[in-house]
Amino acid sequence: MSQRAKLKPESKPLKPTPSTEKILTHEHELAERIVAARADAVRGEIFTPQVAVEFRRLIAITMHGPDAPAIRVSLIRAEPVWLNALRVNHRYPHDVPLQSTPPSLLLNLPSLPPELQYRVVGNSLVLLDVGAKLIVDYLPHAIDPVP
Amino acid sequence: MRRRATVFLLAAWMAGAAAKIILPLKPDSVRFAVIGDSGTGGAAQREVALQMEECRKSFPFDFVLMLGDNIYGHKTPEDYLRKFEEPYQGLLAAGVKFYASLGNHDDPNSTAYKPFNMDGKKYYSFKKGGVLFLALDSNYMDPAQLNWLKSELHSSNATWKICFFHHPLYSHGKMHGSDLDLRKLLEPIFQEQGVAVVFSGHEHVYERIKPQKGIYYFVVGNSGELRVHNLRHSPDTAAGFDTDRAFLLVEIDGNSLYFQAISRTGETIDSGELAAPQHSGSTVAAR
Repeated sequence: MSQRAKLKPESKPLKPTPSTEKILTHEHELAERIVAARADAVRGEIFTPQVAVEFRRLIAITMHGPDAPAIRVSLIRAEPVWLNALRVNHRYPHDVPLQSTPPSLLLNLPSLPPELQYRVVGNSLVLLDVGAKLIVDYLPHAIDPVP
Repeated sequence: MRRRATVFLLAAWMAGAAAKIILPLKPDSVRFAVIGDSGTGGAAQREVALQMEECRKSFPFDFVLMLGDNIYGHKTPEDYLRKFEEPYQGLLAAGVKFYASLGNHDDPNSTAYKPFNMDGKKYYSFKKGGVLFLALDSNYMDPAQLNWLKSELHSSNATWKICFFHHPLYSHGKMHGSDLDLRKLLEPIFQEQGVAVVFSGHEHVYERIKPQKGIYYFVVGNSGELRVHNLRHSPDTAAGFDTDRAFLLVEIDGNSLYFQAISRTGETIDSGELAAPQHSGSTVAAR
């Protein structure tokens, strides 16, 4: 999860700008550098089989615990998002909304550096580099499908 | 360019008469507007923006709170132009500041877009007079944000603490409804730390909820988008409007908060006065 650390000298946070071109260029260049730094990345590199087991356990605690009904309702009401295909090192599409992640789930998952977020896409848990809008890894069939 | 001018003239004609402002306009009061789910780039968004400009002539507000879904769909420079800069060009040119929060349709990197005044942060606070405003990122309410929120609220002695974010804790919209998981975490913090008013969007209607545990909740999710007849009847709804677009004007003076919700066509759809929260409870007198 620390691939961005290698890139830090060239990937300072973008200062606020009125130029949307600059924002898009920064995002694009950051994504390119991350992809170049982990060109051979494949699914399961971060969510290794052992890590995946632990994540599924943590998710199950949340999704089957006393708050499960409220979390399921929130998942439905957050406008569930499905993508045709999730691919590591691919950009999250700009025109597709990002479904909110249930806060109770976030309380139970390991904390992340600020540039990474857990996002729900379909029934997968996606590790997203927010600045680059890049799919870093994902855990398929992690969340029970919502009706 | 000529086509744009024609569109704006047409929009002005379509928008109808300017609203009659019934806010008290007290000297040195804090005045602002609230819009949500605005960034469609469509004619209705422009008409709402024109109505806001008209209202500002008699109710000079200084800033606008944006409740998320500020830019729908694609996020090219042309989209920012069409879905934000052009509709609000009159307000922007007059020096009105926009303070954005992120919706599920927004690019998280839009925090760096200077006209949104987010200073690169997904959640942030600012103060105007005796009012503390906190913009939250309800898309990703992680423990870091919750801790920040508690700390900001705890360290403030503002008379009014106002939170604004995208997903509503209370809503009777048929499309989404209340975010129960978010409510479970945020409501106790709001209660404990004296948050008085919460503005949210996401649901493409206007709704004012009867005070819940002493907190006033507004949904303003129809400043660009609209879901017609999408409000469910509920005894907890103090006022609702789901047949056209709308925005909210707010004036805060000392212990009083005055509000006026105005439709695209200039109709006043809700108004009232709220009292600053007391430990013994608050009161609302809707006109």
